[in-house]
Amino acid sequence: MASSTSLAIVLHQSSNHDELFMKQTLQFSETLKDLKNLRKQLYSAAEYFETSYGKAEHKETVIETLKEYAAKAVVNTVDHLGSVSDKFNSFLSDNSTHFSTTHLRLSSLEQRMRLCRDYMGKSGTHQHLLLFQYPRHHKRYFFPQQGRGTSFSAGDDSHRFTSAVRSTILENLPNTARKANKTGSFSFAPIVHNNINNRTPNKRSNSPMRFPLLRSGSLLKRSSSPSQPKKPPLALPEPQRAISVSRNTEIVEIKQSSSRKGKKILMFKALMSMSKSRN
Amino acid sequence: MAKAGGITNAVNVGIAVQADWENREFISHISLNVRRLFEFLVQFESTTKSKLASLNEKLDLLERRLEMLEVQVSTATANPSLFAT
Repeated sequence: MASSTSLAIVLHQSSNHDELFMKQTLQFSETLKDLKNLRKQLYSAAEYFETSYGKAEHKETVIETLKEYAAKAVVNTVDHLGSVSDKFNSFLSDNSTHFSTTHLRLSSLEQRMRLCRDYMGKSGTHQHLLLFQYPRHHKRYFFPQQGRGTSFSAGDDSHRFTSAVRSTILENLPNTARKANKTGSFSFAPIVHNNINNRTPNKRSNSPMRFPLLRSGSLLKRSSSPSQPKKPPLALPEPQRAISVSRNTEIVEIKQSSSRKGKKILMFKALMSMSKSRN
Repeated sequence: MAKAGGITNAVNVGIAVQADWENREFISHISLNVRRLFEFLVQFESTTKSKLASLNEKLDLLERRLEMLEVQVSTATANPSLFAT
């Protein structure tokens, strides 16, 4: 119902507007016709007064009527021209207002199109950015720059390296702890061996990483881990390793012979005490 | 009598001259107003011509912008894959 009434109101307003517009156009056309006919009327009036002035006896009255007619004609022309100019101005102003409204609509449409284009461009760039996958490196692979030497005890690089290692340890601690509990072969206690590998016990005992790291670009030379204690270091030369192995075998033999001698002495003492008690 | 006739003739001539001057004044007024009307018409013609020319330029500009927008909309509707995000 409301829509029908609003439609009727709109139709009525439009009909009124059309009627007014038609009336204005009719008046404008009539005034234009009057202006066009004014010239003929003036010429005919001039001829009539000329003839009447020559024939009639009352020339003064003819002159007076001519004057009045001329004045009225001028006034009428002024009125006609004023009305025409006013209507033309109103017509131009209406058209200018229509032009401004259409200009605003067009500008809004252009702005919408620009916004759509910008949105499309941004969405395309976003899609491209999502398609590109950046390479991800773990922190434990951050090593000092090449050419600074192998020592990590001094300098900013060593601090960075130690901090990176600590962070990786903290990150991987739950996983490593779980693995150690499962296997049961990992402990933080320092392991003491008689092997040559125990020459650097601090490094191996403090290392919680049981798995070997990929050290293709590393400057560290930690060759062993606590899970592999019997592996000899790769840096040792062959003669030194042979000598150390022979010394180990000798020490073991000496220890075994001393233990055998102690056992024999204990057996002898026991036998002696038994014979004394029998006597 | 002759003197009286001469005086009346002189008065009549004077009256006729005054009437003639009045008529001339009226004609001058009418001609001045007609000239003003002519000047007004000339000025009105120039102003209307300039206003109509400016309005025509604006309408041409609007028409071109409308055509451009129509072309853009037609291309966008012809390629719906551009709007697929």
